[in-house]
Amino acid sequence: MIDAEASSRADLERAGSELSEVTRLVSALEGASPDARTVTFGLAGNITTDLLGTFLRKQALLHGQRAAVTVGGFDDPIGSAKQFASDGVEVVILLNLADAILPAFEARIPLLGNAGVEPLVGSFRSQLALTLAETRPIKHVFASLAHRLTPPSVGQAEDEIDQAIALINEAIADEASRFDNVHLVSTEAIAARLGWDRAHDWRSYERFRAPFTPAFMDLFAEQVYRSTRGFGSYFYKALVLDADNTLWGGILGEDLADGIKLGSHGYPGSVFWRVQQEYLALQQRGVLLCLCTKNNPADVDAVLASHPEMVLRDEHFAAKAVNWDDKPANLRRLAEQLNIGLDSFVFIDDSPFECEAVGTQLPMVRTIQVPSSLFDYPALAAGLKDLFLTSDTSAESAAKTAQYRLAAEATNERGRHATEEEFLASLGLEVTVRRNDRPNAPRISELTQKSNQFNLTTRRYTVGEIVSLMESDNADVYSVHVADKFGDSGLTGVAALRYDGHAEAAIDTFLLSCRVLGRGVETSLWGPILDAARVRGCTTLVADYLPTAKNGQVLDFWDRLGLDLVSDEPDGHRRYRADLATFSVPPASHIEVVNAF
Amino acid sequence: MLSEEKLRAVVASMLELDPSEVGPDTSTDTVDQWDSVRHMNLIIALEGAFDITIPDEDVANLTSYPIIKAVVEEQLASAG
Repeated sequence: MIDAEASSRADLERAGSELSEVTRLVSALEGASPDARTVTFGLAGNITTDLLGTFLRKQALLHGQRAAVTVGGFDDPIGSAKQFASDGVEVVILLNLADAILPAFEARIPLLGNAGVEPLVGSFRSQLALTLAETRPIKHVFASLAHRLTPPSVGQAEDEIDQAIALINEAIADEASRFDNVHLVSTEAIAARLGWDRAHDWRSYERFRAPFTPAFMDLFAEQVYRSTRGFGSYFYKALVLDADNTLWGGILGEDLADGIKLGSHGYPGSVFWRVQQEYLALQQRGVLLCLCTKNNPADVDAVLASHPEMVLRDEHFAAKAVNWDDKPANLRRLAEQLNIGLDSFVFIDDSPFECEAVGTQLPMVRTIQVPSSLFDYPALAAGLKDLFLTSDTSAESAAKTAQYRLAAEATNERGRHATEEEFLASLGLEVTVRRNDRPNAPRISELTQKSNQFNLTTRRYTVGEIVSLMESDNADVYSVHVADKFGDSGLTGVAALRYDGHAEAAIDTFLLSCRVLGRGVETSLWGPILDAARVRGCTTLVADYLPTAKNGQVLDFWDRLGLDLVSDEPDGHRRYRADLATFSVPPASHIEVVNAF
Repeated sequence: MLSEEKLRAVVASMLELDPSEVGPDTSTDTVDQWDSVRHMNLIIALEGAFDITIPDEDVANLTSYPIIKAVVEEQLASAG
């Protein structure tokens, strides 16, 4: 079973800021997790802040917690703060709107002039100072900075409204700096992220004094959780990076070191070069970088040592896992190696398969997929620092974080993990095998030319050669299509058989794209192919492994499939045999094999 | 065309009811928790979910499910 709670959380994330959907899911999920740690919030401000409560509850659930939200009296920050302090609330949020300092304040600024604005800002400042004095015993206080509600003037760089807002922000920052427990939140940055129209709702401002949209409140709540690292629900120390299509464009094993896309100029290499700069900056700030990639170690070492455009070099990685093992196993190993918890890891990979494997088997790892639209990757990489940077957390709260973590580990380790079998079953893998599929001869030829790693014999064929094999009475070319719930990987495997002496079927070629490895595809596809050989009257199966510099990972593939080794030459050439009457491939119940011939 | 299922779902989640409980009798008189904050959130949610503007004169009058349905239908018709 994939954890039901995890899937509801995914729903919640997907719901974004759609108010009725978020409200429905929040109520349902809170009912399902009565024992979660509850963070108590108090909201106050000179506007209606209730909507923020819904999104704080959403963020809490996304962090495995619950939020209990109290809304203070309207435009009564001091009285609300007193109440919150006496109730022992943990977090107070002061959300003020500059325009609400006085009715229609922004419209009146030009009329009031400096002489009118300054005393108003002064009294706002006094009120804030008194409020913050009341919230001194509270652990976290978030105070919004001011921003203008009317769109900024395009033609006039800084008008009177901008000047008044600057004055207000100076006052807020100055008062906040007197208190260790106060964090500032830039509402202007939130509005800029969303765009003015999506952040504000004039209708609701006029009707309910609620100027901010659900989308705005969603981002505000997210920011609150980010800057406290989810109130102790996470404490990330290490960034684990995949290599192919994560650090560079392309696949090292197929495109080779001089074929990967990476460099300061020219798309798409420029995107990867840029994100490497971000990762290096994180490393300089103390984040542990790890490499976790399915590649040959020597190939990766060569790129790290001598690719002219690499920003990250071997010395920047605290640990590396470069092998063909699955990623959850490698992450466990990296955690042991670095002696830190798996919940200290942020994991980045371009493959939805790898991300889902880690996400379901190691839910404590923060898993992030490289955006399928590469243009979104730089912003994602730039935003990662929010996950790692200490805001102004004291040593005491850091120690507390560690305690939470220990408690969380004890609960998380039990019951939350899907087994690998359950995970594989959830993928809905479908392997389709076609025979002598002429229209695909060019793609099949291309795969024989390009595939290096999972390639048992590395025989390179032109399109013409493939077509003549297809047309021959003494050979068959099988092509393999793999699809799963993430989509169709297309034609990603080739097997060619030759029938010499009638009763013998010899596997001339077998190769798979690395994209589809590790799910049992490589064994399950043999079922229909061998059945066809039997129908043809073959009684013996013969297969070879021909070593190259690249195909070490399939050295023992025929052993794993269950064939018998009959000769092992000094040059590494291995020959295998099996009796077709008794031979059968290992079962893979999670894969549906479709015989399309 | 108004999807009544969707309307019932929105009203239910904003008033913390089960969708099956929402019907002709659902009103501020029969739903205790239908307070001003939930009313505000209901209006915002309805406008967002159906991409409509509820006219000012109706905002305070949306006190029962049949009225909500009539107003949302009217707005959808005038938008379409």
